[in-house]
Amino acid sequence: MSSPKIETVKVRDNITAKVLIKGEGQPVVFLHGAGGNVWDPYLEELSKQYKVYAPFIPGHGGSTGNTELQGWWDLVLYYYELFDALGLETVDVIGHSFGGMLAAELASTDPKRVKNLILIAAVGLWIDETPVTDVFSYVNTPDVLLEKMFVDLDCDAAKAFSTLPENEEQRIEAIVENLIALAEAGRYMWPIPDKGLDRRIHRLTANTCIIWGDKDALVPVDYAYEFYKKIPGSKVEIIENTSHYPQAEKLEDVVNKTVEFLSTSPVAK
Amino acid sequence: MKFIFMNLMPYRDLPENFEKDYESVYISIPRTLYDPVKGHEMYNDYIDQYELAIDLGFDAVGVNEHHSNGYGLMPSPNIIAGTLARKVKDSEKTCLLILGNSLALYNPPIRVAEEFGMLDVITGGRLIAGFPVGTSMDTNYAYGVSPAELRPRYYEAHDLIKKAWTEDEVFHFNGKFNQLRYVNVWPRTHQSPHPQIWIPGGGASLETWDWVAENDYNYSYLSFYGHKFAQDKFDKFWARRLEKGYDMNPYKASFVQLICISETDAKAQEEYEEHINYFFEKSFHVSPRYAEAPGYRSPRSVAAGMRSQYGSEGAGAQLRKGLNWQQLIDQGFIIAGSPESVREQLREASKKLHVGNIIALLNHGSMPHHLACKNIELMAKEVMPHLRDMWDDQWPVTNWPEVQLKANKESVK
Repeated sequence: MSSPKIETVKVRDNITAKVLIKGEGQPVVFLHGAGGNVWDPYLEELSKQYKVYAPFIPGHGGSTGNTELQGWWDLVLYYYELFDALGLETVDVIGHSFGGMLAAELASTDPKRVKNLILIAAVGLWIDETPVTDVFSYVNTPDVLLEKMFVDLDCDAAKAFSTLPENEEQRIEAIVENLIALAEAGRYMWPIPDKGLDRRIHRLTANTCIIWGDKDALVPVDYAYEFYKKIPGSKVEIIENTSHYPQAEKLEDVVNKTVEFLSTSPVAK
Repeated sequence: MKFIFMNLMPYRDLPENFEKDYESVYISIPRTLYDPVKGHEMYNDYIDQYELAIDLGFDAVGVNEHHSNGYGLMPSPNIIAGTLARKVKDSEKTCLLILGNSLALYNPPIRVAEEFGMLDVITGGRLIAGFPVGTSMDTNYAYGVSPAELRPRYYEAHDLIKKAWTEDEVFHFNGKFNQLRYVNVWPRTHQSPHPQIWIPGGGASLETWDWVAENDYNYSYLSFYGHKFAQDKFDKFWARRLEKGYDMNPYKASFVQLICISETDAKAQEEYEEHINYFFEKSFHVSPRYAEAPGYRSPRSVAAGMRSQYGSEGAGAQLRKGLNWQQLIDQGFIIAGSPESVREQLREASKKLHVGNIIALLNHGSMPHHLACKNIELMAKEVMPHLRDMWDDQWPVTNWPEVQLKANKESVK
């Protein structure tokens, strides 16, 4: 797996974004979860068929703007401007977890910006009876967090997820960068990741595919059906025996479903 | 040397196997464990202890703020301060230290300016205003403030309160987090321009210390892991002050110390050991789930913390684990023994830390009321008088209300 290019994109006079970019062809934007932007085998596979853009949220991975932007709407507008800067007028967007909340909001606020939408284990809605787990409270107990992220703790993806660099300084750097990503996503997820998407999701017109692990221990699978109910014409793909990171735990399956959905749906210009 | 009596107001009757059967003393502690009939007795005993400390001439009584917490039962420290305010006023020179109100949690923050104003006026200018950020448990988990916003909210609230205390005209405040068209705090504070401000906190960053020094505030290190664990912090604190050209006046800093006094060293162990164990094992049984939210500390502080064995309060908990009574004393977690032993340990610790204010914790965990009273009395009668003049030949008292500055000038004469 060769590394993606890290591009610095000027979004505004005083704000720049770092974006991982790799591949050729139809563009697709991937919005990462609260744990941070990681170029994983899922993105690598997608980059063989698409031009993948994976931006770091402001404050994380060298992206700036985290103190200039105030609140959820500033962030939403920032992403439209980032799409503009990347020349993506209408684009396919994949969002994982927190990134899913963001992707759904981008597709709801200005529906013409998102053609095809894939939500993987997305937050953003709220059901009192099955609340989203407070992921932040498990950060200090990595073993417990791992159990919540994966069904099979011995799979390669789980090992890759939990392995830190051996070199002490690199390890500290990795831990700190993970905490930064969590804190920056936490601006918008804390203390409950519901910023009113429910009141706006009726505006969404993108073709939508909802991908979820049947055993998701962080965002229960009930939320897959909640999104499905609120997005007419959407489809749900349940990935069996996976938790909150189905694209890692069942890579081939999720890649196939992603490619199939993106290739049969109307193509974004 | 100044002495502040502080009581965390712990719930002193947690179940025997609390630390095994329950997840955490903070945030998820079941409310059914709280017996309000016992609670009634505890609050009143604890207020009695404060009143005793005032009668016995402590320089201040200190209250603090915690939420959803089984060891600190002052979600509103200002209520306890209010019950003590009149007695403080009538005392010879005891002051009222609120250490403090977690500024980001007050909406709007001028509530703090108002309530502190009331207390300062009622006591006739004896309030010390503590402005802590607050723990991650209190602020992020119990009160739902996002970690990334906590400190910006804190600093904005600080600026607003300070302006409300110093600006004579009605003003507007258009902040990132607070918008007020008309800011006009009544009553104004008794002290002018405003009460002394102390900044209580954990192992603060250099940036925080610089800010404290620039504003000429007092820095109060609130750790429960004792004077040896605090050494590393104070060494850095004083080095930074020197580096930045500030003086070394020990009254610019305070530290918290658990203290247990009895007639003899052996008797101290006999009387206090189980309560100290209760304090560390049960009262401090905080689940790692809530110990520190991501983003509570700056990335730089986290990285620095990982490079040092004294880097975080969590490290203090690790260092304390499994220590017996004598080891707790030797390693400075507690100061305990006969009055003579306590005097020596405390003098030594204060010298090494170079600190002029001791915040004395004298009621620990499960302690019965009578033992707390005995501890307070021995502290006031057998320990404090011997250490009072420790710094006075070298440094003037600063960062205290006038009543204390005057008392000191008179005693120096």
